[in-house]
Amino acid sequence: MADGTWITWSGSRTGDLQSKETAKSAANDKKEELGKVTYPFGAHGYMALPVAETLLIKNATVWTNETEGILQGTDVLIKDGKILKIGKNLSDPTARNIDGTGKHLTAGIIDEHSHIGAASINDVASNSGMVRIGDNIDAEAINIYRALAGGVVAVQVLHGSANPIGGQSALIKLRWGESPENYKIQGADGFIKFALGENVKRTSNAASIRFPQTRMGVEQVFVDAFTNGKEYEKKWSAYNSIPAKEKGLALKPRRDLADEAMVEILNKKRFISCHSYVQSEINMLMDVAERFNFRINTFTHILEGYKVADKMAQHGVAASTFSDWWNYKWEVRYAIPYNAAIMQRAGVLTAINSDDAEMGRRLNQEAAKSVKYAGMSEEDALKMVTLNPAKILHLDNQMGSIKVGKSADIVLWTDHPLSVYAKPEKTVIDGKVYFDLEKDAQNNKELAADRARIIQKMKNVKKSGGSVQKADSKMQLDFHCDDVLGFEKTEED
Amino acid sequence: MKKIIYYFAQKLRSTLYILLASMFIVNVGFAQTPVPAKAQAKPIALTGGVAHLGNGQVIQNSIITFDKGKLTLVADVAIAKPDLSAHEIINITGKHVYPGFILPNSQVGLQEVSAVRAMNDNAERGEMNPNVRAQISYNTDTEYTPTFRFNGVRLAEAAPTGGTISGTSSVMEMDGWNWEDATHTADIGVHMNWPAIMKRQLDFNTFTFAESVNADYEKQVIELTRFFTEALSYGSLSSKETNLKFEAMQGLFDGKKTLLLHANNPKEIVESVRFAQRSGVKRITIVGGTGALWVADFLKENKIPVILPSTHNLLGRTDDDVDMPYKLPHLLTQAGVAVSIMNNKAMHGGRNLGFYAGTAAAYGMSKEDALKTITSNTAKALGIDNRVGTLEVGKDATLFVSNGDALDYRGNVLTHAFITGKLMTLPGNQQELYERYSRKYGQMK
Repeated sequence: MADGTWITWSGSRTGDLQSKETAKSAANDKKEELGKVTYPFGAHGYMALPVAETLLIKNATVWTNETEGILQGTDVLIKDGKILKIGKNLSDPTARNIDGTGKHLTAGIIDEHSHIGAASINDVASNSGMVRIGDNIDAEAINIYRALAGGVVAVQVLHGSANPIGGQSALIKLRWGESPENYKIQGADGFIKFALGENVKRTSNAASIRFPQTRMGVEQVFVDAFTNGKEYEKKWSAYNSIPAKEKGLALKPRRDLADEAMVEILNKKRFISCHSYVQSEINMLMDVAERFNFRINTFTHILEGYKVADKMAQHGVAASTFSDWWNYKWEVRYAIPYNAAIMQRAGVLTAINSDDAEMGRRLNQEAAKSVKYAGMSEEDALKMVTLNPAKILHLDNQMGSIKVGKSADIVLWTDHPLSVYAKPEKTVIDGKVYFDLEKDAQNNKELAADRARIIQKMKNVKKSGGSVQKADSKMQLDFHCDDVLGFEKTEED
Repeated sequence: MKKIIYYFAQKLRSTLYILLASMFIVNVGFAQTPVPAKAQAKPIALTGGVAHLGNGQVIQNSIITFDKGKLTLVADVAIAKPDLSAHEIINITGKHVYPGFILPNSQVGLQEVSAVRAMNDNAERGEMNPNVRAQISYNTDTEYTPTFRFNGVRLAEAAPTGGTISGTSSVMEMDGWNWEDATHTADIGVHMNWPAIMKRQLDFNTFTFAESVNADYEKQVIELTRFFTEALSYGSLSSKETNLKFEAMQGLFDGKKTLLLHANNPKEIVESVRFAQRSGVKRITIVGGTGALWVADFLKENKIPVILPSTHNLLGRTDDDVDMPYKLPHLLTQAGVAVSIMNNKAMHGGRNLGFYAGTAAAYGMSKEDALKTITSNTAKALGIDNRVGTLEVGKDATLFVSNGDALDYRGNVLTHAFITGKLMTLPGNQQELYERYSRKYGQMK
């Protein structure tokens, strides 16, 4: 019906449609009825951008992620975007009180490996270290809102894994409705995506002729890139050391953005998150890094990390892994759901990531699997999707735990956060409520009404003889890290 | 209350360690799938467990007995006082017992590593292959089964996927020396992919999918009509040359086989069901059915069950409710449609079937109704409910015992698992690797 409600009807064919005179109506003269502007301007946008509130969450079970552990019947006061007080019987007359009885309050979920909000993610060159995901943020991607509904507050939007040296990632908070630039976490360290194994060997494309096609070749891409980086830095420092007067006679080195990225890595100003699966390639990259006198920051996916956890601990690299994915390709045949627990027990800083817009919105459940399979403590499990990724992304000074002074990036859950029955009731970023279960239900109704309004409008235009086109249904893409869009050189070319 | 929960969690962890340790002692050193179980030698009694029957009922303090692979008693301890002198008695007080989960529309045993062409035996060439049978291709040594068993899945439908009529599926037990052993019910259904009314194409300029009308739709439906009509009349011929494809279709017309109709778009659902009814098909189940809510009245009226995709999915349009995949099983059930849940994503997800149902329970369904979506409703949708799907006397003793709520990550820790009365080994290769490397680092003694 016109208001979007459904009725049951049936009809039977009686004959051909009688052609009618196109009715010219006076509707055209009416002032055009416009929908409201929302942030972002699309489905599930808000009427106004959320503002920082003074919030007092009363009597909740608080998972601090600090030495205090899990606090029962505790209040948390949030003001000016920060956590101001944690304790019992707190009060603040200016605060909006939220009853936390029977509910759990945790730090917001952080996903170390995500592709949500990226307009595209892969390049074809074997070293595309100069490209920046931050130039490529789609702030209106619906998966951002879906992630908020799953308690996610921040993600690292990574480049894909179709080439050994991918591109520079973007660290964003899910500030739904804001502009792409406002999503970015100011002052955050720079990271870059590397990748190993089947994706960079282009295993999925049998006709690919790009180097490398073996793990032997992959090592050489890295050694080559870092060697070039060192040479590049040398050329520039030689040029820079020439006195200003003589510079005019010297040949200025050509600026190379990919080499600059390599120099940043060598100088420990940019940090590697490397897509990895099997033990040989994991050890190879740590070996390359050590030869060039730096350390890998993160192995992401790292499904055979459990086989070399001692070496990883020694190198000082962190791990960000899937909970239970395996066997979808040859190199993940020995992935086990005990991987995270073994690495964590061996002293490796370990997180659980998604690489997947669906899984990314229930990472709390993915963390729960380490409790189920390997008997990890529940606090340690929750840290794998909150505090540990914050540490891995060098953000733990501002988020990842419920601690006075940290940013109010928190989630209030309806139930135990590792239970399949838990839903985020509120997801708060910078003290602003970006997702609210009740508000979401209300928004769904408004969205249905708006959809009906737009359909009516289109029908009216058609009725009054206006120019029309066929309905065009569009769906956004959900990226995984080996999705290459565009053209790849093959033997047929 | 909260204290109790935490205590329980602590207790759960310590039991888990003991449990794993004891499992490993028995099974150290296998590098293959676990040895298939031996036939049930003597009657077994499970006493004191919370029994979830799979039909919506719960017995808080239950006694369950079974002999020669069949359930002989399912009752309340306080009421039934059977003579257990001949029984092996297993006290499961405080634990939960469930009918084995059933995984419909899976490629288990047919497909191993999807990315490796040589390891794919699920999709045959050609459009009309009802005579292609999954049963004989089922690999009992597939590495998926130990991981599925570990979390409560006991039976899986092995189903072909290619072409328009993909082939004939069978329900397989997750245990056995060969496909004959492992067969629970052979040739239960024919899988058919209904032609799409709308085609979806990726637009490289905008990275969005654009939909367009499938110009061949009518032609494809006419071809299917001809095939079904000829198959039906073939069945009534008294003398004929054997046609293998038409032979394979006959079960659909006498109700021995179910037509597993893959359709998602609401119009496709209605058109495909009407087509099947017109063609003389007796038993129809919709597989997919993401648009089923729009035609729920039609499905209810025609008593067509729906096997939905995993709740852990992103479905549909950007303006859909964000929790739609979670609540779809509830909304459809409320509308009077019998719902079950499959794993439609990568094969390894089959082990999370219980949690897909748990998610449906978090979003509207009662826990016992959610359990039906992976037990009794699935059995009915596949036509095997005379033997499995609930804990009822006379049915197969295909069940398992879990420390806690098997639909929740926090409770799904199995202690005993039986398939037609046979006690199964739970740990597999993944547990062996866990043990090997935990020992390497001194994390386990």
